[in-house]
Amino acid sequence: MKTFLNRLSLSQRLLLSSLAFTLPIAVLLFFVVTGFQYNVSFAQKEILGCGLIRQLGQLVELIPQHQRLLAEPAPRQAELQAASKGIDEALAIFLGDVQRSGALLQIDADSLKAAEMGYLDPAALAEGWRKLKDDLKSMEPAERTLAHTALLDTVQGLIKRISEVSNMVLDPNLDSYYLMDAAVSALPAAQGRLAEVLQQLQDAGAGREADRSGFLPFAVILRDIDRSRIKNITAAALREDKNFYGVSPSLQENLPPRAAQYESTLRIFTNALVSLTQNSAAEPSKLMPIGESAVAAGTQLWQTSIDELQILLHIRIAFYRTRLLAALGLCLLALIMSAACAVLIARGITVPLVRVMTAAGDIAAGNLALAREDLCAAGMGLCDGKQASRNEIALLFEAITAMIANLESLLSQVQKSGIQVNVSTTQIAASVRELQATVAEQAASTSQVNATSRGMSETAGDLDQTMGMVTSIARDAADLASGGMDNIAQITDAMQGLLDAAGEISSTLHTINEKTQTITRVITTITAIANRTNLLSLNAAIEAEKAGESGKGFSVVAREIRHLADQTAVAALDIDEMITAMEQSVQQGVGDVQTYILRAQTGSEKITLISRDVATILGYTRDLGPQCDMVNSGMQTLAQSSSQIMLAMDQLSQTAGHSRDSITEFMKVADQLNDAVQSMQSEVARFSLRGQE
Amino acid sequence: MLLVVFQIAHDRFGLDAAQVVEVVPLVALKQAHGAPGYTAGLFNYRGSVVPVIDLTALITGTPCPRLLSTRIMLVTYTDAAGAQHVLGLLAERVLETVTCSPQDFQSPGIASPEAPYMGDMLVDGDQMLRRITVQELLPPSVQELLFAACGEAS
Repeated sequence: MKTFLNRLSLSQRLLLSSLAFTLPIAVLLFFVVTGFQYNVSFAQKEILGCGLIRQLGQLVELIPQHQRLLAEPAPRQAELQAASKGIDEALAIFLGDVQRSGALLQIDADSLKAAEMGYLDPAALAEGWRKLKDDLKSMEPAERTLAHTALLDTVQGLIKRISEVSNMVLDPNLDSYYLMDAAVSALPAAQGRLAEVLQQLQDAGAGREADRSGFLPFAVILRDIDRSRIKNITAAALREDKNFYGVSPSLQENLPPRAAQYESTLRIFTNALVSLTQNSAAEPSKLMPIGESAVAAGTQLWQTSIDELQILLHIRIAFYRTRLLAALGLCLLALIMSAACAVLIARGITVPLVRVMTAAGDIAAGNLALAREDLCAAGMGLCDGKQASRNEIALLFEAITAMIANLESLLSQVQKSGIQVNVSTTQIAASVRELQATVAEQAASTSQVNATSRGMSETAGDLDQTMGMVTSIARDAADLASGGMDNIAQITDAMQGLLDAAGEISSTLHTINEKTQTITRVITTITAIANRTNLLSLNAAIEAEKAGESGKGFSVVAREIRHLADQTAVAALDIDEMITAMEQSVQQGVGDVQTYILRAQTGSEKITLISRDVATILGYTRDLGPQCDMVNSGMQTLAQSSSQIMLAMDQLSQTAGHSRDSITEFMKVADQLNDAVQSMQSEVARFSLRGQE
Repeated sequence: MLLVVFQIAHDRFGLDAAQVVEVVPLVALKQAHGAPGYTAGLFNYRGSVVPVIDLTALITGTPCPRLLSTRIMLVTYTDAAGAQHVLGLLAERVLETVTCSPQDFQSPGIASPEAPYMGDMLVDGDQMLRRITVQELLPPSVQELLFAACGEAS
């Protein structure tokens, strides 16, 4: 149940509580409506009963009248017909009413049978009347009297029955009760008695002399009981009328004249009746018109009281209907008011809450100024300085407004601090960058110095080695030079000898060359001859072939000649080749010898020059040895020094590297700091403050 | 029959000796302008102008080298009209003859429509030579060109 309630919105909960209250109201309303409706249907049933009894009242007057008219010595046909017709009409209306509402009032045949009153069946009543009317002529007067009496009894019984089943006897209001009493009890009894008296008077007038004193009790009853009872009843009804639903003007107007007339006629009739019993000379038949008028007055009073009763009942129904409508309207009004109250309360809570929610959303999104505007727009009187109402929503608004103000001041503080930190970090970063650049430059310089000193050291080492070599070479050269001087002199002599021999070879070769040229000419001649011979032999062979058989021997000769020429040519060719080869060798030999002579001469000259140079070198190298030693030692010192410089520089370079690493580390930290500050600033920037709008 | 043997590039060829008038040494030739590229030139043979065809140029496309053994074979050539002319054929190593019989020749088995003058093959000892048919050497247009020129000259 609790979780279900939590799931609902506030307005839904209020609606639910309203419904909870509506339910008992609806139940109560149901009972109230049912009660009113019961009263209304109660009265409506009475009205129905009145309608029926009105017709029965007609019958109570008309049936005895019919009986009396029949019993007259010379029946007046017109009046008889009118009475018969009146009975017919009243019966028809009555039966129609019974048809419509008989079941409701329990006066239909089945209900009457169930109540063991089958003899009261309206259909039987109608049947009895029809039978009486049909068999009128054939019937004996006594039978007719019996039939009329039976009809009257049935009518009286029906009146009693209807007054019971139509709630008339239970009528709750005094005015209508008295009228009812008159209509269903007092008047039927009085009318019945009057009819009986009139019947007896008729009988008496017809000569059947009876005991006149027999009328006295009737007169007494009619005068002292019926008349006074009806008088009291009508008086009470008129008296009580004003106490129930106000005064009924028609009742006050219509009833008293009728009651007075009835009373007066009845009094006249009873007085006449009393005097009849005392005066034997009096004619009973003279009383008849008086009696008839009393009956008519009674009937009029009866009808009037029924009419007035119906009017009273209608008034009562109208009263109850008005009450019912009033109750319904009030309930509806109450429901509408409660629903309106619920809706107003819900709106009074939810609308400010939605505002607060919007403001909270704005704060979450960082828009503080918008949040403040939202709260102001909620109109809780926080922004215009008015004193707000002291309910919980207003308190909530105050708290949130205070929170926004605090948040704004906090954020502006944070922003300021962030900007300051940012500036500081930027400065730090700049300083560190400068420092880093300086360190880098220093490192570069150190590296350069290092490289230079390394190069110097290497050069010094190389120089040292070279000088060592130079020294030793110089020493060797000095030794060699002194030894070479002697050898050179010997070489010069040998060269001169070789030159002379070469000259001789050259001249010999020239001679050979001339001889071979002569041989070549001879060989050319031989070759030409061989060629010619070959050509000759070839043509000879062709000619011999052309000559046919006769040339055959010649062709053999030609072939031999050609062979000979071929061999000669081959030999000449061989010699030619040999000569050519020899010639080439000689030519080459001459060239070689001449080249050799030239070179030998050049060499001789060079040796002379070398000899001179060597002598000079000898002198220099002898001086060079000690100087080289000095240079050597200086170089060694230099090499050592540069090594030391190098070491120092290495250390310096390492240190510079360390400091560079440290600076890099520091810079990273500074960057991180900067990043942190910027992210913080961006976070803060999400909250737009009022001053920055 | 007798074949006069000569060499073109490194291959040996033969001419029927019956058609050969004479073999003469290589002499200076007059240039024959307007003639096909393989025409070596014109030369005076016993008072008449004879056109000389360079067989090496005709067959291989390169001129014959001027050696001692390079000679001119003068042959009788019957043109399309039936007139007989003397035609000089320049070739290398015109040095010897070969005696053979016509039955010794064998077909090479390769048709050569481009060179109709190429005849049958002859096996001579361990060497082979190929006969040149003189009559097929010159196409009709060249015949007209050469011999018209000669006729006019003579």
